[in-house]
Amino acid sequence: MRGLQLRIDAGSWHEIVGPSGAGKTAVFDVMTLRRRPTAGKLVVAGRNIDRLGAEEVAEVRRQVGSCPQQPVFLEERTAVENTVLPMVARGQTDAAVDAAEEVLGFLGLMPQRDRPVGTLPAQQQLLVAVAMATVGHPQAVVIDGVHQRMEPAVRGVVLSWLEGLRDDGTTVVVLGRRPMNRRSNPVVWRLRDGNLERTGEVDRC
Amino acid sequence: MLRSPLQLLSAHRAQTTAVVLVMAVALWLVAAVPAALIQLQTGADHWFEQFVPVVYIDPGADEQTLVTMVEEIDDWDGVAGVEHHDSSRAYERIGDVIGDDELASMGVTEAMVPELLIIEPVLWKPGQIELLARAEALEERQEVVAVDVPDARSLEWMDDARWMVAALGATALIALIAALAVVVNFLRMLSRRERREHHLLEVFGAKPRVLRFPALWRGLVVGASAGTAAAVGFVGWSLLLDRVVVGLAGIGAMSALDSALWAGALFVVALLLGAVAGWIGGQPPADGSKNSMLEWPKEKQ
Repeated sequence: MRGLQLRIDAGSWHEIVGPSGAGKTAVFDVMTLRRRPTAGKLVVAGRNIDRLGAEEVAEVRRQVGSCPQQPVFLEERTAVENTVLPMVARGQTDAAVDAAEEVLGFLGLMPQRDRPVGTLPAQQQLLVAVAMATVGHPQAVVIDGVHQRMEPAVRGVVLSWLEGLRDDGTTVVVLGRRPMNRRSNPVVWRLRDGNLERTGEVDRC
Repeated sequence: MLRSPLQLLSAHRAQTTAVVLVMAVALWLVAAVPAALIQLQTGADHWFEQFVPVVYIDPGADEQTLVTMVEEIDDWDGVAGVEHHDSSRAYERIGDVIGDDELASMGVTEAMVPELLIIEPVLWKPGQIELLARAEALEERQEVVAVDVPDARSLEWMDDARWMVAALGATALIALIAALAVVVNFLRMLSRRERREHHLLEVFGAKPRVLRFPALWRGLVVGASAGTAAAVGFVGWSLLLDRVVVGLAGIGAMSALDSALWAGALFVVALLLGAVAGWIGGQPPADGSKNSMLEWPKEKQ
């Protein structure tokens, strides 16, 4: 990556698009505080990450829900157990089950609530990954390409859920080969040859 | 964590039991050896009283010569002190040993009894044999009537006992270190079983100390269990020591209070060691990539 400059305002919807190998996952890792950039400044939720200790980094992470391209689950645990996990990490255990049931209900996973995730079909596993990223309405949600593996109907449900979150003030960032959201005028960035440029329009992607 | 940290311990019941037993045995050894040492020392004090070197001084010896001799012996290596008994105290002492009536029947009077210098050796210090030789050599002096020295074999036995206790102590310490390593590795193994959960919790913002808590908690439980087992074992052992060793050697028994205090201390030490093992065992694996911000990165495929 070279000279990557990206500013994402609270409550907006951004799409970062680019071909395979363009560095989308690297951007995802940096934005979700999985990986430290080798140079430059990273500010998340208004906090300069370079100046934060481990406890403060954890505090920032609590404001960001993330769904990687290859989601990680506790496969032997149920869908609801996996979904409450981010709430447990944030220390919001009292509201965890209600929040998990809200998102599982919207995504149509309530019948699978108590089934181990490892036993669910692939499409439903992807929905659990989205549920984990969005449970409890974090300030920002970052999704890395997982929607590309979803069937259109499933993707539509996820899009509606994310739009609802955005309407409630959550910032949504989606990374993929093509934009996920073509209907609510997202800000679109193109990642190519290690550079990031703002295209502004969905139709040009 | 989604579930109690103890659930993983019960899921590995056999291993947990083995680890607790290993730690309990090591703790018991570490406590039993110094307790035996103290017990033997107490017994040895009593036992030694029968065998301390005693120098019999001519009742006519002048005071200054006596004082000089006391100071000289007191300066010897391995001497804790020199007790001077004048004729009157010496007479009482003999009376205590053989009985006043017996003494009277023998026609012995105070004036006939020499003064005594009782040499108190430093217990548990090697080299008592040399001390005996030096004490024996005093017999050549004009003012010394006789020197009564303990049986050298008993002192050799004491020397052997000292070395045995030292070897046992070293073995106990090594056993404790080895047991701690076993506990740490066991707790580390359990933490690695939870690695995926740790990874997810960290990604979603769990505090680092929260991620270390399960191993710490498990360490405390293992420590408490081992401490309880070791404490019970210790109390049982001290009872056995009282029954067997006391009967054999006439050594003073360990009081119930002492035994309980030792057991309590053992439990507290076990708890602390368990916490330390838990803290070390809960450290994240150091295999993150160079720029990783996660202490618990996703396991390699």
